[in-house]
Amino acid sequence: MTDWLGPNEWAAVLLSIKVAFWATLFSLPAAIGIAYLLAKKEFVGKQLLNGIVHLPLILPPVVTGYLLLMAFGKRTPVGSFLADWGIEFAFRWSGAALAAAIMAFPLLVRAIRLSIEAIDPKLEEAAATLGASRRWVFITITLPLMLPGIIAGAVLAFAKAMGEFGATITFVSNIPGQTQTLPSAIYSFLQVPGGESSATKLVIISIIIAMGALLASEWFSRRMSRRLQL
Amino acid sequence: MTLSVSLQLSMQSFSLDVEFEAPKGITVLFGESGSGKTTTINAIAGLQTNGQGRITLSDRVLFNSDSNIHLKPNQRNIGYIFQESRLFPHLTVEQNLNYAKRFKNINKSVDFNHIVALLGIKPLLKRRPNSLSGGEKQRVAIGRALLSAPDLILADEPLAALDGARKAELLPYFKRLNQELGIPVLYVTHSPEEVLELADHVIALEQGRIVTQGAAREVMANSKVARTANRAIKSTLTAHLVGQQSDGLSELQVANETLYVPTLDAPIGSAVCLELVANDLILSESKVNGISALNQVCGTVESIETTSSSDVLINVCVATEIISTHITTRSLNNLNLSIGDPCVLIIKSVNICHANRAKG
Repeated sequence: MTDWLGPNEWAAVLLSIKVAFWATLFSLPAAIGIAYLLAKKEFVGKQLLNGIVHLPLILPPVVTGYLLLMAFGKRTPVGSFLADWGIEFAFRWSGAALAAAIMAFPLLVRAIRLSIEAIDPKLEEAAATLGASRRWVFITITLPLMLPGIIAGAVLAFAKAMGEFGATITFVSNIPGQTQTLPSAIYSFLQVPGGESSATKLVIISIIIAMGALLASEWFSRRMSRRLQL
Repeated sequence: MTLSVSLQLSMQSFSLDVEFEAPKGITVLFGESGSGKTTTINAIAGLQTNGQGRITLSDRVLFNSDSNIHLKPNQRNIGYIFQESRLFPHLTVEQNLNYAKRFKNINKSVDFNHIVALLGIKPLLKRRPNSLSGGEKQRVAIGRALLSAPDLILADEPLAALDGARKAELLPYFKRLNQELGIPVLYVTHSPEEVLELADHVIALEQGRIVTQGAAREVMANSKVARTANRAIKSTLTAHLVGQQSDGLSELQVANETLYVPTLDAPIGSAVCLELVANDLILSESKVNGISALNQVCGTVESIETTSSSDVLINVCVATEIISTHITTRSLNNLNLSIGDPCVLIIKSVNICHANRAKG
């Protein structure tokens, strides 16, 4: 595998996996919270929140990347504040993870929200009559029944995060070994003469990862929903 | 342990105003669907949150709109058995049964093994709810509610989703859980059979108001309640599909009588179960000409039951089947029928329903 892939290509694959992993992991709790709010609660500004969550799905990725740069760039208030705490995003791999997380966020929220809406609220009522407080109803009933949606959403978000290009390259650029993710590497290889064979290998890897993620997500959700059928 | 309820609430097209006490034993809330039974017990459980009034269980105030007391469902210590069992699909039967244990300090008086034995669910413990039959699910649901060591059990038509045989199998459990465990039960139903079988005390509801309450026999004899109850009296009979006719009717055979019903989608020759509502049937001395009803079936009077001061239930034997019809005492006198007399049942085709196939 390492022979077949050059060191730069290999680094890009590993970086992409790392970026996608952390992007998915960190956005998961927030996605669960927001999906729960959107599915269960009525509040002022619900449509606005829904819109903001979905914005990255419809905005040109370059715009999202540029907005991130404006928000988290070194010279911005937020950026310099975070830098004082040792957290930097711009032109770092962590920035790539942030960009990927934001781009994948709508997919994650959608999948989880659907799974929450599929839960019969009557089960939660039954749990309450058995003595479970609201928090315990969530932990013992809602959360386990959401699991198929969470897993399906996470797998999908991971695949999306692996392939994120526009926002990433705008926000953290394309530095080999640091911020050059798989799609950025493919893009770079296509810019230099003779880079096609490297690009082709990365393209094949991308396809395998994307297909695998999709199949795994399908398999998981089908298996889980079969188990949970009433 | 006495439950005392005073509750007023209004929704778009429905208002509820009830005041009652449920003493020890099994109290049945009886009424047609839409009479406010479920709304009432949901309010007692804390699942229905609007409304005015007071609900107390012995000296515990569960709800008092005047002093703004509103205990959450999990603080009321009331077990609820729902119509659709509501078992948690991700947990095994055993985990379902033990669910309440995590949240409540349950005293020793509820013994897991005793209740499991009482309900006959020991062989099911390791299984998941989706592999259980309807009757099994409901027994587990009863056990789950009991094992939360409640001060009161609410049951919302717990047998309505089950077929006749399962109903008969489950009814005794409700009697036993009250007699053996001493937990008061508030049981909601629209079935007169269940009332007579279970109730120590009956509260009859109609359109959100209490019509009458008291001992089961007295309440069911009340003509207003009886009318509600009679609407639910049905007979079932088995017929065979003989053929489909060109005008959309299906021809059925019961013994040597022919019945015509609106299209039945079943293979020719197959047995179908029909349901006849006692209030829909007309009784006659002999066959009648010039009438729209397509079916006139000959039989003999098997028995006559008095259902209220003004009406009776006539059970007519047709071949081997018994069909009940509900008529006024005046009609009975006019027809001058007594047991053993031949008679004719007149049945409109559109009133013959294909009984639900047995579930679970």
